[in-house]
Amino acid sequence: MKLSRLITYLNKIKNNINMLSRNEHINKVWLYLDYIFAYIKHGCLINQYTKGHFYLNGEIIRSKAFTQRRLEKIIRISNDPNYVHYLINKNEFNIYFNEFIERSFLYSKTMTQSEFERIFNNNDAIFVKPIDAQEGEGIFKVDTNTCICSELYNDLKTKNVIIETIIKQHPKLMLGNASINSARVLTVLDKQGEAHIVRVGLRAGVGQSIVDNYSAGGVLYEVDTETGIIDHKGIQGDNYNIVFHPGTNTCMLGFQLPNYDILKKVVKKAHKSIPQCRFIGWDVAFTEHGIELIEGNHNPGIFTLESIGTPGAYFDVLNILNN
Amino acid sequence: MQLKGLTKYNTEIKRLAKKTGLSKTYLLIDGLWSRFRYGCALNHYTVGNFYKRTSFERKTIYTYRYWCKVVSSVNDNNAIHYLKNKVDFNTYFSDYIKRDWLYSISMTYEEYYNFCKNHNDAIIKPINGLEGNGIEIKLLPKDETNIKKSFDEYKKTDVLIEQKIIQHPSMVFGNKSVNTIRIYTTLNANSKDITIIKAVVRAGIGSSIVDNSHSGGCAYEIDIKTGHIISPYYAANGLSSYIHPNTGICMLGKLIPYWEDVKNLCIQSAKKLPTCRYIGWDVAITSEGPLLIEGNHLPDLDMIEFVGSFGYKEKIIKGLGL
Repeated sequence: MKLSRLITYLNKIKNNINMLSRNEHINKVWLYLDYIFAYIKHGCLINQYTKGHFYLNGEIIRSKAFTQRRLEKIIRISNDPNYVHYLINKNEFNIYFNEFIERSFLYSKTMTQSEFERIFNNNDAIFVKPIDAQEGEGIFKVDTNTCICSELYNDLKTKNVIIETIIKQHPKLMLGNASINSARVLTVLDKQGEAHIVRVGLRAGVGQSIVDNYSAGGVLYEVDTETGIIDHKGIQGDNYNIVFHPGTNTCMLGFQLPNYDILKKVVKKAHKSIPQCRFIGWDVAFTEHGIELIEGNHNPGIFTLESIGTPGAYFDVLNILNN
Repeated sequence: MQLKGLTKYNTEIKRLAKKTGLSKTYLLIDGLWSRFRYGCALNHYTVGNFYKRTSFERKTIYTYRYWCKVVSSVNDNNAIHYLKNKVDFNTYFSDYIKRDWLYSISMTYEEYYNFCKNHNDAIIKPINGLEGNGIEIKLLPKDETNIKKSFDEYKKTDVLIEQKIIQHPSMVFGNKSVNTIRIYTTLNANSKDITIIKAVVRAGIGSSIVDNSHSGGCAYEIDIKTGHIISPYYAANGLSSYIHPNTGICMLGKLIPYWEDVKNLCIQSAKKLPTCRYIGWDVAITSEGPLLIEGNHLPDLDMIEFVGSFGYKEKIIKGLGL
């Protein structure tokens, strides 16, 4: 099993390096040697090396950047395994952080039929999320006008899912797409228990996708942590030059996130309430009058931390953790 | 002289080492290597962030050495006076100037009198001035005695007297100067196609009457296709932000008015002077549309490689058909 995974990974390295060499006219042997060096010294995986543009960085930037190995190390030393279930399990998350959540929700295993009927009848659509879903996987939206309540109830009772009402997002964030466009906010607790915002990225979905995740075709825009203004071009797949949100005429550079001051206060307060986990990536939705937490990630994806604009997130996180 | 140069080199590298926390020895060796291998000048290495670039990127960067090669080979020495001399420029490109002007040496009293009667202020420019040096704004006299007196004074100088430009409201960024667009064009030797290589907008700071980076102004990259500002500013002191200094104005995403007209103006101007194939045009924008301020036959390298995107060597070589 391990051998087959190794062979698959080696094939992936070969394909990615060949493609990079062909597209950028860089000597293939040089790339192989440099990648091996980047892997041994920095713990960089091939996707980050090629698609995350690690190959373009000099040693100065490489040594300050998050790589898979460094990310795993930070998660290991920062987040107490006995407490991460509050972040992994969506039902527990919603209960633990209920102060920051306005939407209604039900857990399939504990809900009663009358509770489900109330939500079903009062909403045109609901979200169904696997209890420990990551990167939007397995999430689906149900149009309550086109299905039968009891059938859906019986079906969901057999699954381990959470049922949520849909967040009404701020009109400014309606970017011609079907999903809720959320911010990924990375916060780190210092030794005094003070929360610091290290990176903020806006994830905006494209077209009819119901999730905004980068891995589901969404666009990632880096946001200035102080002001809440998008200050870098967006990234979608291999395209690092998105100025206008796809399918719209909205220029995203200079775009001010609404209620950003509230966001800063809320995520810091939320993080302080779980001091056993010092490194969290929050997903935050923007509502008309404030913000709402969607989820917290104890193992945020490397792409949302390191490749979207300002380099050196690892260095910044280490500085905060050690202070 | 060489010792002075070395001292400056050492001081700047020391400053960079302090700012970045990198080894001074490493930066000294890498800086010299960059000079020798890539032809990169000291300010490009330090302020222009060349020290951050990898060997892949360094190969694509338009450095001082290539800049010298280009400006010395593609612009005809017999034609550059149309760009260098402000009177020749205003005469040759009269269709695109769209403002009144007088040359102090050749103007008549009657012309100057009418100019004073028609305008309240004038911009006074030394005839061969560079980088905004020596430019002043003057209130024009209205009574005959003072008009005569100032006329006699100007007749003793070698300056251009130009009508003050009232810029488009969208081009005012909380500062006093006219904020101009710098557009670099190339003309291909074979196909005769004109390419816009890069566009930046320069915005002055505070009460400065010029917007040049050498006078403290900030330069922001413009997306050539759409006319939106897409980069934080570059200033000669190496600072960078997307908020215009002292104003709190977020510059990212701002749309330059009349963008298609601005591009067309530069393309038409470049066509009019085909013997100079590499020009940096300065354009101002009023409520009626764009107008030419000047053309530069030795356009700054920093606006190309230091502001926003970088790696323009190939684009310039292609654009010129070299």
